[in-house]
Amino acid sequence: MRAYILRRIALLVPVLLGISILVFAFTRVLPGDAAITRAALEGGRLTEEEVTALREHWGLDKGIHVQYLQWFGDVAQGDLGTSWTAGRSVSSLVWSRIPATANLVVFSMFFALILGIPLGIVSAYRRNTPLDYMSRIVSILGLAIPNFWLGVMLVIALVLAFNWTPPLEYINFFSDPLGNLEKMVLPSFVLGYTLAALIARMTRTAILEVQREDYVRTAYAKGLRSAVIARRHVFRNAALPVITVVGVYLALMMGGVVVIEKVFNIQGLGSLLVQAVADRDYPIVQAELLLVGLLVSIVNLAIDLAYGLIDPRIRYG
Amino acid sequence: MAKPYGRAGPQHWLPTNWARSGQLVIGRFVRRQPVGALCLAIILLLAVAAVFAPLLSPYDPRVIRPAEIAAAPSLDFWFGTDHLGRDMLSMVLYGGQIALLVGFTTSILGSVIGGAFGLVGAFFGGAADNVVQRISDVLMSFPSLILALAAVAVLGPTLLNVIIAISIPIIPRAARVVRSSVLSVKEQQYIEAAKAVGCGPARMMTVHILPNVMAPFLIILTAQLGGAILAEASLSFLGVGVPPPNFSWGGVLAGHASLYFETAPWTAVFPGAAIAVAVFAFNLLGDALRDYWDPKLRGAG
Repeated sequence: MRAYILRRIALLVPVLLGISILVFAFTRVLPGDAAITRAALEGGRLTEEEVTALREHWGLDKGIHVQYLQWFGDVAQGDLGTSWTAGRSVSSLVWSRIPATANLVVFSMFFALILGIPLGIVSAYRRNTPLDYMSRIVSILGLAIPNFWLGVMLVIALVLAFNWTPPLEYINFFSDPLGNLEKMVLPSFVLGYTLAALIARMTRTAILEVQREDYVRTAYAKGLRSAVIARRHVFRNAALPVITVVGVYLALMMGGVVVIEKVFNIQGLGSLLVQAVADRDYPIVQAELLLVGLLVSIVNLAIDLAYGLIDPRIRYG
Repeated sequence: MAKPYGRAGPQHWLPTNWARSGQLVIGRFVRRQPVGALCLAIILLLAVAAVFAPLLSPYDPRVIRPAEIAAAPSLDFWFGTDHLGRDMLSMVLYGGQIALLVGFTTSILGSVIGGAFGLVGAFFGGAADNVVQRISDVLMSFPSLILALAAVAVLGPTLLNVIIAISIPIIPRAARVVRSSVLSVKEQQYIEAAKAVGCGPARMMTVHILPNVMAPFLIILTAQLGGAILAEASLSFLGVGVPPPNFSWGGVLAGHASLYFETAPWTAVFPGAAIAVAVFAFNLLGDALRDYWDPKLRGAG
């Protein structure tokens, strides 16, 4: 087991190397000249010399492999570069935005799990009853309604009904839990709803599949109560695909985060990325892509390792 | 639940009799997938509304009316007006053009490019296939919207660039699906037979393999449509999508429009509902087509 974990962690190295090459190549290989577009954004027309100077300043005039090695060397030492617009170091900018986004993701995951799993279980155990149809409609809506629109609609509804508007500033959960909840509950619910829909669908399918297995029929035949069968046989075996979905979407949630942070005016990683995209601030875009790639790789590793804990049939060799 | 279809092999995945008996196929689709057929009807309606937007729109969506700012829905303005006094109904109709244009072009572009990579990679195998696979793995580890945002950051927000940006995340997904289908088709006896009679690689791929992986290809293509429309709406909503003077459903919700959401909810309700209906219809149609063509994949999406 320990050897397997070590080997899996060692395998992360080439993956991260690949991610770093892609992240770098993405901002350099695609057509488009950063210096010219930045110059155009600043409004005024820069002279040819000024554009050249800008390119030199950002190191864009050097060969692409030189640029990559330089960038990679800096990143390896924890230096993500300097923002082209804010003039601050990218690491301090990114670092300052992590708490709000992490807060959003953790709360969303909480909502997704407490909504999605019971919905899926009810749906599977009360198949083809009104309860099943209701929970399936809830989950289909969760997949179809764009989450930014759901967010906008909920805010409008709350304003019209209770004259309540979400607070503007992000408040740290540990300094003011209630203030934090007031700001974060709604966006977390909206973001979590999509994931809840996916979890409910996956839970339902997984339970229905496991219920058809021979060992479940055997358990019934030997007279076990159905609650015991559910706990010992069905849930344990149905958990695997559900965990995979949760893991995959925990990583992919970053896409939803970008939009939700905009709707609810949360100063997190998502809004930083959108601003950076609008400003063509490559160092920030690169840093965020790198962060997401790292997150995804780590989550994938965690899922793989979790399999072994849940399903003893999976052996590590 | 899977119904017995009595199909023999992958060559029956594709309804080859479309051209000969189109009506029959449509009738069978309606009977077997009523929800899918309803979604198809909604999509056709949206398409007609978008294509004939210039004829159907009661007003020019670009006309600004200082006297009618954020007017409530009325007989004159069915969907009300926005923060500049523009007619919402006309804007939503014109927005459909961009949504469908971007949705279809990105799904087709992404699936064709990805499919080509998957086909060639799986056919020849070896190092090239390995490289394509690893690149796909890395690309797929990023959420689609993040990848599209990064692409827009580099390319700049124009209609063509937004199309390119949304296509990029589709490529590895299509490549993976087509690749795995090609790998299984490659083992079929008729491929061996074709090889025995001296069929070259180009002819083998286009004449013998391609028709037999069309069904998974079309399934992945339709499955991407809803997501592509949502991605376009999201990019526009974030202010980095299709630029004016084009109207996009997401763009109508962006910028200063948000200041009026609470006093004039109709400015948020109608464009958002249009996105929701389109995404909903495309997603369910994708599921229905998948179940219709290949019941084995049911629940795999």
